[in-house]
Order: sequence, then structure tokens, then C-alpha cells
Amino acid sequence: MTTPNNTPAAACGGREFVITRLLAAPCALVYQAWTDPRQMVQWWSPQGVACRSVTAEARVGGTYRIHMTSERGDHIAIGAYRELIPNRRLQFTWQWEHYPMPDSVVTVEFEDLGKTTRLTLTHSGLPVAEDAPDHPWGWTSALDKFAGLMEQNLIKQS
Amino acid sequence: MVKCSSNQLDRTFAALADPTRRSLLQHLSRGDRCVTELAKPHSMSLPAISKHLRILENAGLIRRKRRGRVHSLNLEAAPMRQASQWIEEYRRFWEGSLDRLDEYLKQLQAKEKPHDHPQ
Repeated sequence: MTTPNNTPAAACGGREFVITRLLAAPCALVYQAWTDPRQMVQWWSPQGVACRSVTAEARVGGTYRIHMTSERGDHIAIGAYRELIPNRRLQFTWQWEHYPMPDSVVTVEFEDLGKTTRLTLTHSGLPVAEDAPDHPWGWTSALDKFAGLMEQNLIKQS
Repeated sequence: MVKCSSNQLDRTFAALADPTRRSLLQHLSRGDRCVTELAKPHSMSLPAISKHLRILENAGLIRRKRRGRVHSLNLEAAPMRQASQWIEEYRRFWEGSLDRLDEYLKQLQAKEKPHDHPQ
């Protein structure tokens, strides 16, 4: 079986995954974009989902609330900051308001590479839901590539 | 949608956390294998492989068939899909957001450029 570079096998290391990105901006600018609510609202949400408002008190113990909307309605992410090391590291809990689940934890590490920044995001302690209901984003129809490949192989066998 | 208890998902994630077990699953995705066939590419002892296989079996990721003395193993895709869907939802959320962050940072710097070289 050929394995794609961003193999979800690696991403599936337990109930967490890691994303690494090289961003064409200095570290301080990237860190600001992550901690200043006026900037967070500009980018926080994938395409097809609008970020309506962000409140964030970026200090240890401070909370944030990110209000997003998609065609499926409101999605509000809430949590508290656990760790902030300016321009280096950020850790906060992550939960959906109105969608009770145990907290998961997001850790963002910023590596200063001069004009660019390497960002590593780890989302761990991902919720395990009874009966695995639809995720609030409703993307559950999309199969994981790894599982998809396995299915194809199974079909070939039968 | 396949119903799946949280215990089941816990076991699935725990089973997937180990690189040897993920590699075993990849081998099994190509077809049924017996234990010795699975042990070979991993250069591991049979008891060590058997331990990994038991964890995968308990997680419902593989099924064991007995043909006389030979135990053959095959893959159960459903729990794997269930577990990976949750990871996938969040991965997409962050990938999508980081795409937009990348765009935002580019625009921000383009705006700021004139101030980079003050007279």
C-alpha cells in the first residue's frame, strides 16, 4: 500500500494529532495573530465557516470564546489558557459550547526561523463521544484517507 | 452510522497509538495473513507480535480465524473508520484555519510593507 506523505496513520497517534506549518511571517507577528482577539477573528475558522466574534483574555487562567457560524448553525468554541510563553508556546483547553464533552487541549508551538515561523499544533485529548454522534461541523461523511485506503483494499480482496 | 461505544473508541485509539500495530494493520489491509507472515517483516518474536495482535483484536480492529493450527487474521475496517473520523474533523478544522492564518499574515505584511523602510 502506498502511504501519502501526510499519512493519517502518523496523525492518528492515539487521541491526538499534530500539524506542522511553515508560515511566511516573523514569529512575533504569528504569536500576535494567535493571541489578539481582533486578529484572531480574521482567520479563526476554515473556509465555509465564518468567524463572527472572538473574545480572548490571553493570560494563564484567562478564557476565550470563538463564535463561528456555518450553514449548520452556530459553533462556539470555548476554553481557558493554560500556558503562554510569548513567541514560543501557547496551550489552551478546547470545548464546544452547547455540545458537552470533556475538554481537549490545543498546544501551539512557534519556532522562530527569522523571516518565517514554524508552527506546530497538537490537538490532544480529543473527545470520545457515546455513540460517536455527528461532529458539530458535520463533516463525518468524509472518510479518513487511511481508513479509505484500507476499505479499497478490502473491496479488492472480496 | 455505525454505533460505537466510547470504550470501543478508547480501545481503538489506544491500539492505533503504536507504530508497530499501525504497520500490522497496513499489512493486513492487503489481505488476510497468518501470524508468522506478519512477524517476518517486523523482525519481532512471535510472542511479541501476538501481544500486539491481541490488542488489535480486543480493539475490534482485526478478527482471528482458525483453520486447524493456523490462525489467520483479517481486518475489520469499521472501528478504524469511526475513530479516524473524529480525528479527521478536527484536523480539517485546524488545516482550514491555518490556511486562512497564512493568508491573513501575508495580507498583513503586504499592508505593513511601506512602513518597513521609514524615511
